[in-house]
Amino acid sequence: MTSGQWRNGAIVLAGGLTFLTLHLIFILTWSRFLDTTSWPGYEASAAAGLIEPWFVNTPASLWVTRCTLFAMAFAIAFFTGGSTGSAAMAFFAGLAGACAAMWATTRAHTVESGWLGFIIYPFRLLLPVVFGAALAAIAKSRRTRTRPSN
Amino acid sequence: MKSAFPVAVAVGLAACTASGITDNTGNALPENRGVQVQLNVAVLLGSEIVWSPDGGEILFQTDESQPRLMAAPLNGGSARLIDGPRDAYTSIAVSPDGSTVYFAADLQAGRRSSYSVPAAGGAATRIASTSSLVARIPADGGLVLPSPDGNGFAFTAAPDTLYYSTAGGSTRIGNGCERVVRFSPDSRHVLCQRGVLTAGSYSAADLQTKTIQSVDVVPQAQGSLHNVQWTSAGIRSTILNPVGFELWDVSSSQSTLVWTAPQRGSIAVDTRNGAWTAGGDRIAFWLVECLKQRGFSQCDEGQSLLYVVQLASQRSGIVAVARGVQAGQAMAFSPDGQRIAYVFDGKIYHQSTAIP
Repeated sequence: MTSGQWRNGAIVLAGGLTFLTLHLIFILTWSRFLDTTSWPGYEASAAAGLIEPWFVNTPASLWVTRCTLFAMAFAIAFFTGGSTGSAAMAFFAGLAGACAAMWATTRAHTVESGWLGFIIYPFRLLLPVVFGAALAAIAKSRRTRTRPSN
Repeated sequence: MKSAFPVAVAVGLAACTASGITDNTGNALPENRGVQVQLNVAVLLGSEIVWSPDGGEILFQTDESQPRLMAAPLNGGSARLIDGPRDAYTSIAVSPDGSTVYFAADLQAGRRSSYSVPAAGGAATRIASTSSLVARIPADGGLVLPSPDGNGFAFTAAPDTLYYSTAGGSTRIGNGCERVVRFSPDSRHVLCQRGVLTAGSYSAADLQTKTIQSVDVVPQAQGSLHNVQWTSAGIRSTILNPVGFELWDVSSSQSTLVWTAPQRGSIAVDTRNGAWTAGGDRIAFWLVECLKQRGFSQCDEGQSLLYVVQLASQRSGIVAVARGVQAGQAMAFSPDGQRIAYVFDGKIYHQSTAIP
């Protein structure tokens, strides 16, 4: 394998670990998320403790996920070598794989998305990754322009 | 990088397979479709069905290259032609006295027109035409909405909403409205959708465009405007969450869990085809269950369960069972709420709404 492939493989792994870590945090602290905010139409179910830990199930968990992915995508795209686009795609691939796997193992029986959740949920992670990588690309180009030439 | 996405997807596939998603997931219930309406034509998939106010007929559009609007009697006999053929019918509605049928049809040059036709059949009269690209108009109706008092109807010609009086003349009652969703019970206001999530209420009585309330009717775009009802109890919406349906009262912003989904199998609620009784006391919806799934999107065997929920008591039950998982099955309560009609496999059935 080339160094680029090793790098992208590591980024895929980082994406997967990021999602799994987020999900673990939600599991451990879920009651706080339910106490903080709720989507309209989720209140009664949340009060009864029926809403399971999942990144889109409360506004707070969704924003925590978005901010984390934005920051991670920026950091990975900015600080690792190689192209920003391939780093972002590798990061998203890891996220999507972990999300699909977690959905299939823990949420296959929910009624609001059915089996389409396998496709829907991973793509809800895409936007913050795109924004983070775009910001990294801008920052990289500015750094290149301001770096003194030898 | 080229290998990254396939690897991730493969991990997902392996996890799904390991979790048993490809196994048989539920139990088949005995089929119970209710009474089939005798028709010599098929019903268009996705067609709305509408009861006549006396509950004696069901209006539908036929599954033909040029659909026709027909009325099928429930006590036997042949379906009769009301209008057609045309390219397609949406927003089919009957005036409260049963004398007139309204509908929208004829996609021409980016516009769509609304018509009225005598319910007994006859020549259709073109009432109005949309003033903007039809792409802005939702495909699932809402263009023409008769008022409950029978004195007129609202017509959505985005971005304007017009109120037509049966006595003649029209009045602009709001702008920025993409679809008229419901009249108030006293016919003095209309609930109007603006954007995907927001609805406002405009006054039709004093002809001003004041917003009475702005509410998120469809949080996270889960659910549809079939889920909104305006009765003397106020504006209420059913919202699907991962657990089941909550009934959300707009004025108090309070919600109540009225139906909890069964914890079994691979199931999904079809939110595109819900129904409310006119009085707003019951809702109906399809729960689609895959009994034998192959891969992620292929369902080899399944069943569609028609649920009715009594909102006040939160009692629910399955009133009809149809084998198959065909989507896009319209349904409608009869005017007295005692029966529910639905489309399945191109046929119309009706069934008692008594909860077992």
